[in-house]
Amino acid sequence: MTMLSSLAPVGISIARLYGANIDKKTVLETADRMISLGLRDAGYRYLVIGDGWAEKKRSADGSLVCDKAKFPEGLLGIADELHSRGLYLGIVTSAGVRTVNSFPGSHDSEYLDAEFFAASGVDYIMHDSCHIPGRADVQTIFRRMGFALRSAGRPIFYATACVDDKVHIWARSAGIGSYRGLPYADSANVSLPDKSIAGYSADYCWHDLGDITVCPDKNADSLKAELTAAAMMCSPIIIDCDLEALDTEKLAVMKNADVLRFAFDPEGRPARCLSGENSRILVKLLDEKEYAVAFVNMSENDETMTLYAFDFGLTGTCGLLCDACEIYTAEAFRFDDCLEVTVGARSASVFKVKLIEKRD
Amino acid sequence: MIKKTPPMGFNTWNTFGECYSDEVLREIADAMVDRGFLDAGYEYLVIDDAWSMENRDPVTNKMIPRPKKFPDSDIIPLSKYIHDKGLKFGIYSCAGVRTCGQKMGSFDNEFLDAKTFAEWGVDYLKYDFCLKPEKFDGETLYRRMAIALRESGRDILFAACNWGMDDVWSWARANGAHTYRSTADIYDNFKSFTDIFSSQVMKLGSSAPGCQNDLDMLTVGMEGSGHASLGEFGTEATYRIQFAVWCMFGSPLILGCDVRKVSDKYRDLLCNKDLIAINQDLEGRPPFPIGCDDRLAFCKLLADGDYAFLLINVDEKPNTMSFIPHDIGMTEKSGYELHMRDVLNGEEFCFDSFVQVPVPAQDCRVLRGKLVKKK
Repeated sequence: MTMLSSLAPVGISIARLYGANIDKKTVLETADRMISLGLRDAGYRYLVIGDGWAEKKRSADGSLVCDKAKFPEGLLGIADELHSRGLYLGIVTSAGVRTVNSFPGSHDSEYLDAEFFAASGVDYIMHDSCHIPGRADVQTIFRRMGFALRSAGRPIFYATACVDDKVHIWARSAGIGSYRGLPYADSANVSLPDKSIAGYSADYCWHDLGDITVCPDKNADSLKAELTAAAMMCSPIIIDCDLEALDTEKLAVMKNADVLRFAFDPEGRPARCLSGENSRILVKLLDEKEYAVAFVNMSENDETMTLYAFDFGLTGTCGLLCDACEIYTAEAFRFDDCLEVTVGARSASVFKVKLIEKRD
Repeated sequence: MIKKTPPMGFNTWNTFGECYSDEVLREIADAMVDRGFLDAGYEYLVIDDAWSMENRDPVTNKMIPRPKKFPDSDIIPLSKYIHDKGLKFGIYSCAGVRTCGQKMGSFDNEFLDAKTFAEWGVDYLKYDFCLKPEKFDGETLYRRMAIALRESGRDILFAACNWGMDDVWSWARANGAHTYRSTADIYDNFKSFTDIFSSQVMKLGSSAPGCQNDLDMLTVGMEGSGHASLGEFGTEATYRIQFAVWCMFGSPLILGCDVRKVSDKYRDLLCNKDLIAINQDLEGRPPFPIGCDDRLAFCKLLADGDYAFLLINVDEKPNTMSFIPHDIGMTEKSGYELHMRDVLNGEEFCFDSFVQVPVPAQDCRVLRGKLVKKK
């Protein structure tokens, strides 16, 4: 049996929000808010706290040290607190010599650090490419952490942000749990994946479209578009947000049972893009004879998109038609020819679809 | 939902081509059970091309099993026989208007054929790519049949077979395939299988649980007898290389030899528990090539934290194959060493900064083990 879960992680990140200024009080307040808002029970189980838990210097024997001023019971203490709440602890690490906020990176200390993470009850690391020495071989050092984590005796999800446009070819073989492919997502927006590699996302090694950042100048529609893209493409879903400032509309988008059902579908098949570039029609085959169809508009203009039943995969003689129900508005459509949808700028229309027998 | 590990079974094509009968198929089923293949995991009995007539039933439009192969054109008794033995029943069709053997294809009748297969108790469909209309999008045909199978009312594993056309690696999974053939057909000789696997070494990134890159049916044990024979069929050692590669690469393991007659020696190889365990590993990670000469050394990460190494020596003389663990992500200063065991002969090794393994001429070794903290 493998130690790992095959599913892509779903959770919240406060790494960007608090940066180096993370502490026990903040983490526990966030954790309790994840529970009181119903996010944990909806499926958001990971809490990524960033890199600010560490001391700036390693100990004499080279180990990472937890900053006891911020976390008096250490990293294991905060891990235990999260575990007792049914949550998983995530941290941000670096394959280079320093993390994003200049805490120690894991370059050349992978095995020592993996042992520390395992002993500290960590469940997830986002291992990024900050400060990688110019002459280091990127594939080797990312593979090294993959090996180190697997020898440390605890199932730790190995998320990566590795700047290599061929990462989708070797990530799975290196023990990686998720990788950021092209286009390399910045922290502000989830991007739609390159169509030639989007289909590689699969159990135990997922194509990560990037953190979904929720902030005041992004509306609920934008969150809907990015969350839809991530769920359809089998990306991990890590929402970077201030839970205190989450309005009810955005919270409802995040907790939509159907989009999360698409994300957690056990078949783990990424959607296929039938058409479009910045605005795309995505079709995802689900378990139990269901399908998800999403019209995702990442452009700055309204877009009218048409899904043809022929392109979906129906035939003139199959005797079936599409029964589609929009997951946010509950609008229902039945069609055997085409479905035309107008989607606002940076928004999405998302349908759960069943095929039903035509009646004469 | 269908199991996500690479399917294992038998297919008629490599040995029988188009020439088999209901009686032979029952003997195959018997042999799969009696000779230990089912116990080892080989559960699908797949009938390849030429089970169907060239025309459809004029009233129902359904495909018709050939009456000379299946009495009364009824395939259900055979299906039942296969199921009663604890096996699963596989069949073949084609995305085009005709199959490669010019029997009836499923083009534009995907949903009817999927329903028909479900009625017959089919558990696996190999879906070929001959004779499709030139201007029709191939990918759409595979998605159509994937949907048709899902709507058929039965769990049917979808084994796509478009020989690597249309960048299939990028969409097989999304479009509902469970396996996808990525090359031209295999023949029973050394060059054929080595060309096949060499071409796929850098194309395994999308091979994963639930949808695997299919290196084609095995020729292990055929020994020059059968439809897919072509040229010199190689040695016990080269058959060992083939099976070790198919296991390491996570390909479906579909037997092509005549399971009734294959020697005990090859039966034992094909049923080797350790090699099969590497193939059926739950995380289904592909191997990566280790920088040896000719890139004929591979490392695969296994779900329980173990590592598997495959070392292939293509030379006509024995070689010591070597590599530096640091190059693959292990470090001496980490305090770990590799404790490995040859899964075929049991020899044990302990490595830290340098790995050296003697490999016989034109043969391979498969090692499995873990990183262990030095004392």
